[in-house]
Amino acid sequence: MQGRRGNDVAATDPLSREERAELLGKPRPRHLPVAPVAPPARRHLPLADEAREVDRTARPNHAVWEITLACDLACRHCGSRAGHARPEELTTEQCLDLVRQMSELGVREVTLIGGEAYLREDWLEIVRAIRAHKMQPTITTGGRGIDEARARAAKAAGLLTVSVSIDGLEATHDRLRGLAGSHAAALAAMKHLQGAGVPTSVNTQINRLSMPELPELLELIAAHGAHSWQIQLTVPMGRAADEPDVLLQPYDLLALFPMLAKLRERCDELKVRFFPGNNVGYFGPHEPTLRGHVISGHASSCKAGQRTLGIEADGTIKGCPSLSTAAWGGGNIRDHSLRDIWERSAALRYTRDRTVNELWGYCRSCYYADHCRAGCTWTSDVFFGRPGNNPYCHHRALEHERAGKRERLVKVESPPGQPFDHGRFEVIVEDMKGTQP
Amino acid sequence: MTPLRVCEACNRHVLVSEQSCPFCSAALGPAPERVFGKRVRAGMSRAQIFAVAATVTSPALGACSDTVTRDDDGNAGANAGHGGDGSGTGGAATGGSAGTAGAAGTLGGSGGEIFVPEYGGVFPLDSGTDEDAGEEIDIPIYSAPNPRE
Repeated sequence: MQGRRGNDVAATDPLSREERAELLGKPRPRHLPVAPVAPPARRHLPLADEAREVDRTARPNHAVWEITLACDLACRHCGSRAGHARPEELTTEQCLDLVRQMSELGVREVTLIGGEAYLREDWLEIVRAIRAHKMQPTITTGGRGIDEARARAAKAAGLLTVSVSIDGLEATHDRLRGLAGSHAAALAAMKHLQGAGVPTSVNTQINRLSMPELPELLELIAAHGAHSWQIQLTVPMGRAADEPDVLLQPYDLLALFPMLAKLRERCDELKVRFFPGNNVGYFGPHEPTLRGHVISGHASSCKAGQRTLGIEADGTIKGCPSLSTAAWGGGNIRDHSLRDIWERSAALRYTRDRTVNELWGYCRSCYYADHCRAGCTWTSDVFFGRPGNNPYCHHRALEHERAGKRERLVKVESPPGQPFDHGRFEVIVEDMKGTQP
Repeated sequence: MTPLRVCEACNRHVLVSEQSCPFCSAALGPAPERVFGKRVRAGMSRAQIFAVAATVTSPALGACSDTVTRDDDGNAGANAGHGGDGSGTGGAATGGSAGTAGAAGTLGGSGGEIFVPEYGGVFPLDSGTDEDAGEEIDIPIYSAPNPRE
């Protein structure tokens, strides 16, 4: 373990120098295709006969829309194993109709993702349509292909902001993204976008490689004009499940969260808005600081299917973009209206109906169970194959520490190699004493 | 759902029904109530909800370290808050912009949360649409801190 300093925020590295060097130099796993072709969308899924009051009350204000799975990167932690376009991605006409349906359902903000959204030739037409329907178009991107011309075109189409993915300092980012030069390209994309008048933010994956670099990274992105910083924990979906050594262990959160609280304060100084993703949790002593932007001042349960909508490029509708396709796809826009899928599919109804009785493991008896409901559904699901027990929790790590214990995650089943797939992990509870820090 | 408050001694969220903190055993006084009203409505964008939070949590509004809130329907909301006034809770010193006060719970049933889905990116700096400009909402829509202004 070693300390680094990017500003006045001390960082802790969960890896020894030797472990870090080995992990940085580790080649990409070769036992699965880098970019598999996604299976055809599941069609004609059943819907409930009628919508209930709770289904009509729930409305998404934010949609995250993968408009293509084609990508110009093949990131080693990519949950969707992006690379090739899906077999039957929506046509332009279908996309524009979906924009209309989103607007009618009450969506106010649409984030286009991929793959890389800009690899669809009609992506700016979709941006314009979103704007024409008085919704807020944004994108999340790796930035490799954003040059001056593309940035100017995005501005002209009405794109309001772009979130560029930067997952650490150069060596770490390029290793995670699987391409030398991708870090420089991301920074160049920020420059091109800002030059065209498009505000930029940064989103960052936190894992064992990037964790100690966060203080320096914050200084870097602030110097490059980021207006906001969204952080999220890397979880084992897609390619990230192929390299479990990169993932944080639950006990790493004990060092991570005090650092995040200080980084939030540093963000205030730098005037960078700080947003922890919904899988950064939960309810530790730094919660009021980390979620100062939330009216309640604390995290709440997963809002997939309540406030958020996820769409895959072939028209599959989910409650959240991160959730796996097989278990959480509620229907296809080619078969049903968006409203019908939103209101009547079992997958999207999940968080509207669940109770604390569906929690299990540590979360079942947690003090915060009723408020938290195990937090991020995606995180639980990709670790254990079912929601309701979230090992990435600061409160949980603290309670184990108080008892002289810690939890360690061990992969026991590998993913099959499909987009949005996952394997399975087991959690080992062991004595803190005598273990590696 | 029983609302939460923040223990001033250890900065942990605890149920408002607690007499003492289950984490540090500090005695918890009665939680004062504060009425914010329905500031968050169904159909608001994340940027607009963020703007509400900015006003609710503003030190100028007196957001304090220990409040329970009720909306116009009398539904108790959560509370939180660590003081921008430096009044004691551990993580307070966040450049004066701290102070989180709560109106969670129901907020008229519309939810006061900003869901940040992974892969979703960050919402725009302002609400950004013509429709928003004419919308009757009892908050300053463009009050969200704009770091480039």
